[in-house]
Formats: sequence, structure tokens, C-alpha cells
Amino acid sequence: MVEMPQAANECGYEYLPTSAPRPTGQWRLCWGRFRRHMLAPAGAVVIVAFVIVAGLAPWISPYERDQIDLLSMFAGPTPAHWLGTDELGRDVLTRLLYAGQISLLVSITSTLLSIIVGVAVGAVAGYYRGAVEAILMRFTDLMLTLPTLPLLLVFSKMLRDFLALQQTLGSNLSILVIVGVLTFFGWMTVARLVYGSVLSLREREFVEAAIAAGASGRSIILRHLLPNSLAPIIVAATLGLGSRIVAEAALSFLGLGITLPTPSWGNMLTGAQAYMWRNPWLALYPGLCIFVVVLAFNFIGDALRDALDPHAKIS
Amino acid sequence: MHKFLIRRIAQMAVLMLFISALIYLILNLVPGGPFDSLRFGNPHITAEHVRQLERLLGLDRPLHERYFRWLGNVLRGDWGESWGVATGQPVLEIIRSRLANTAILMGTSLVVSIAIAIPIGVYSAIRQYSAIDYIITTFSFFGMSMPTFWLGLMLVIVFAVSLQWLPAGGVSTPGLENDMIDRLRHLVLPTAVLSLFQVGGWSRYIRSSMLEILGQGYLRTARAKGLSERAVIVRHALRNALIPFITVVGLTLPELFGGAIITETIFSYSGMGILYYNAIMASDWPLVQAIMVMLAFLVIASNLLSDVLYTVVDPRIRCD
Repeated sequence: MVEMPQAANECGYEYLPTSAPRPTGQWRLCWGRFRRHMLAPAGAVVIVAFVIVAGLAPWISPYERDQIDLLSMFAGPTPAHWLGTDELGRDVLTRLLYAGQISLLVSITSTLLSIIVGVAVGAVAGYYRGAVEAILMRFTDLMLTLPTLPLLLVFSKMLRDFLALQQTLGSNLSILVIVGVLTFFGWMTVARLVYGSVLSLREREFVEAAIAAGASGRSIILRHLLPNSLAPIIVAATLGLGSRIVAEAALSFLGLGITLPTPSWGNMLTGAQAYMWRNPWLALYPGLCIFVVVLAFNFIGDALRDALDPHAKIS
Repeated sequence: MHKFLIRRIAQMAVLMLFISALIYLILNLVPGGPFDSLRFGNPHITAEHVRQLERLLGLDRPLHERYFRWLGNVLRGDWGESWGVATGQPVLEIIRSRLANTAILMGTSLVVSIAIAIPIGVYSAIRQYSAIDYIITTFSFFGMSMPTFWLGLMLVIVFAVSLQWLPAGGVSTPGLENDMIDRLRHLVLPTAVLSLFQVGGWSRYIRSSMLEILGQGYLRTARAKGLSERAVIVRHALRNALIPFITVVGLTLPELFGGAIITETIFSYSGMGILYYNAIMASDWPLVQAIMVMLAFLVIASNLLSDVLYTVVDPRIRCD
């Protein structure tokens, strides 16, 4: 602080006496900008609420998850069943809560795994360059060219057939299959972002200084390059959480995702579609849950993009 | 330009070779062939029966040998025969019978999306931070967050089940195959579903690229020349904003097919999307392979096309 005024004065700043307010930290600035976004804080509240309610499903849900009640099929909203019952008399609210668990679990797990793979590929390719870079990034580009949904469908089907043949495909394994497939086709965006950011960062002086100080490639990547590439990764991850919820729901809807009896918002819609002439309300709730959660993630992602942008105006 | 084109087409051919090999490899990767799934559900079919079937189709040969034979046949125009969806029929014929329906659906939705996305994107950029801008922005987010299959179901429930204004599915009413109005009525809901997602993303894109351009000096020049505001926006700003948009549209084409799979399944619209889905569910690999290779070709070709268009509309970019 004592030596600073000289340099600061050259830039035209007033000398700040020691009583000046503490400089605002980077994260505090971002938080300030995030809060000012119109809908992102609301989105964050929605997500937190969904996570809590879905996480507490075993304790707060009024019925057992798969409890069948053939005497009250297609019940409308009643005090006993707030959102009614489905074609087997199962309580819709209960299943929505458990389905939320699965959807959020699948989406969060596969997003985290995608980030790990993407960061590894992008950082290694960007830092070591040469043949490694050529192979990794050409492969990334190739994967990016391929249309995702058609491939997701084929892969899910093949994996499920294979596992069914080993007589092991149950509800739990179907969750693993979908996490695996979503990860396999979901790491490329992060890889591209990290690669681009590492490419520009590795030429900077602080990296040169770290190399001169004898730091290993691994520690330069982990300590210097990645922390400086965090912002785009965080934004991509937030938007990825939403898109993975839609992808999981779409696969489950098409019968290639989460297998019954485990409920997911997607496979609840499949059930509802079969009975939509008789009871159209069943199709409303699961889709509304997907829509609201994805919308919340998109708002948060949009706000984070503005908030984490160091070039954005600080006002 | 010629050199550029020749080089790109050569690259395209190599890439297609890689992709076709990759697709072939993927579909044959999983241990246990496509017929193993016959075994559950029917205890009378033994592993020996499955091996006989595989020998019959030449599936017992080494992978590379099968690939090159398949590739050779494809280059001669023979894409093999279907195994499951329409057993024994040539794959190409099945695809040909569906292609027109999907082309109509995707084409209509492309036109509709562009026709909606551009005006609202431009408008919300001109009136940045106005009430209408906020409404349009919110609407765009809604469009991007709406799961297509759910929107499809909701539209069917509202417009087909409750109001009975529009048909719930199909390409046309049986017996009215040549009735244009009837076909259009069947097209309304699928097109709406397929377009909404695009409109959301694209209008956001147009808005931000318009905003970038609106701050530039040459617009002030245009206004200073005394041009009407309309001419400034349309002829000077929009034309430049549309240049990068071409690439965006080109890159979404393959995604549109993904949307078509879901849309056609919901509306039982007899096109390529539902064909692809049925082929997967029936483990009809020759058909799946053919559609995937054609799709990959569409992707690469649309990339090339958008690059070429880019140089046509923007004289500053040269391709050497």
C-alpha cells in the first residue's frame, strides 16, 4: 500500500489515505453483479428449493414411491393426493419428488464428470501442444460435429441391450448407463473452452515465471492455468446442468433412459402420454418440473456469464 | 475460390471416411451382436441359432473386412437390407419413402423460425431494456428451456384433445392424402414444436449481434446522410448482423434432426426421425448406419455451405 501511490498517481488516481474502504474482492464483485440480474436470484432459490425438497423425498413424501392403489386410479387432486394419482393409483406428488432426485442426480453427476474429462483434455492439449494437441483436439472437433441426440439414442440402446443380455439391467444400472452416455457426449464444450483459455494463458508472464521457478507441468496446469480459466467453465457447467436434465428426460421419455419402476420426469411423461385422452393432467406436472428447473439453470448461467466477465462494467 | 472449394471437398471426403468407419465401429463395438436380443423373451432361441443367423449375414467375418465390403457396396449405391423395421427391403428405398415428409417438416420449421427470430431479435435490440425487450427475452428463455417432447404433448392435449381444432398426429388423414389443406393442418403442431426452441436461441443471437453493430460509427454516417431509420436498420445494421447468423443456422441443421426425432415420435409423423427411432428400437443396424452416415454428410455439407455463403455475403472474408 505504501509504495502504490506513486504508480497510482501516474494513472491519474488520487492518493488514497489508509482510511479508504477495503478493496472489493473479485468474488464479491461477481456476487454483486449476479444479484443485480433480474431473474437469476429467483432461479437460484428455485434450484435450492428443488434440491432440498427432492433430497428429503423419503421423509416428506406422503406415500411410498411405488405404492400401487388400484382402487384410486386417475384420482384428481384431493386432500389425500394433492396432485392426483397415475394409471396404477400411485401418488403423483410422491413420484415427482423421487423423480426430481434422479433427474438432479443424473444431471449433476454427469456434469461433474464431463467437466473433469473436458478440463483434462483441454488443459493437456493446450499446455503440451504438439502431437498430443493434434490428436486430442481433432477428436474433440470430430465429436462436436456429430449430432448428439441420435448418438445418445444409439449408445443407450446398445449399452442397455448388452447389459440386459448379462441379465443385469435394472433401474440402478440404467442410471449408470445414462450418466455414462451423457458424459461421453458432454465433455467437448468444456474441453474447447479450457483449451482456448490455456492456449492464451500459457504465453503470459506468470506462467513463464512459474516455469523459471521450476514448477512441473502438472502444477502449472493445476495451480496457475485452471484457476484462471474457471469463469467459462462455471458458466458452461451451469448451462450444462439444464441441458442434461432435458437430455435425460428425453431419453427416458423415449424409453432409453431411466427404467421403471424408478420414476424420472421423462418416463412419467411416457406413462402420461398413453393416457392423455383420459387424464391430460398427468402430463402437466413432470414437464412443468423440467421446464422450471431448466429455466432456472438458464437464468443463473446467463447471470453468471455477465457476473464473471472481468471486462464487464463495474457499476 | 476454386482451390478453396477443391481442398474443402477433399477434406470432406476424408472426414466422411473417418466418420463412416467410426459409425460402423460403434455399431459393431458391443460384444453380442444385434440378434442376441432375440434370446431374451424366447428361450427356444439358443446361442447356436444366433451364430447361424450371424453367419448368414456375414457377421462372423473380421470387422475390417466387413467394413470395407459395406463401404464398397455403399459407394455402388447399395446400402444393404433392413433387418427389423421392414425385413428384407432395401434400406435406401425405405429412406426414400420417408425423406420428403421430413424435408417438408424441417424446411417449414426452418423458414418459420427464421421469419420469427429475425424480427423479434432486431426489435428487442433497437428497443434495448424496454418492456418489450424484457418480454421477448423472457420468451426466448422460455423457448430454450422448454423440453420439446413436453411442449408437443401439451399442444396435442390443448389443440387436438380438448379443442379438437387440429389433428393429434400423422401426415394426413387416411383417404385425404392429396388434400393440401389437410396436410397443412397436420403440419401446424409439429412445426410449432420444432420451431420454438430455435426461435428462442436465434432471437437472442440476432439481438446481441445487432446490439454490437448498433454502436458502430458507420450507422451514424448512414443517419447523417439522411437515410430513414428503417433503411439504416435494415440495409446497414441487419445485413451485417445476418452474416454470422448464417453459420449459426448452418450449425443447427443437424440439431434440427434431433428435434425431428422427438417431434415425429410424438406426432406419429411418418418421416426419417421416427424411422430412425424405430430402427434403433428394433436393432436394425443397416438402417441406423445408413441414416447416421447420411446425417453426418448433412452436417459436414452444411458446414461447408455456411462457410461458402459466408464468403459470398461478406466480401471482406477471402478463402485462400
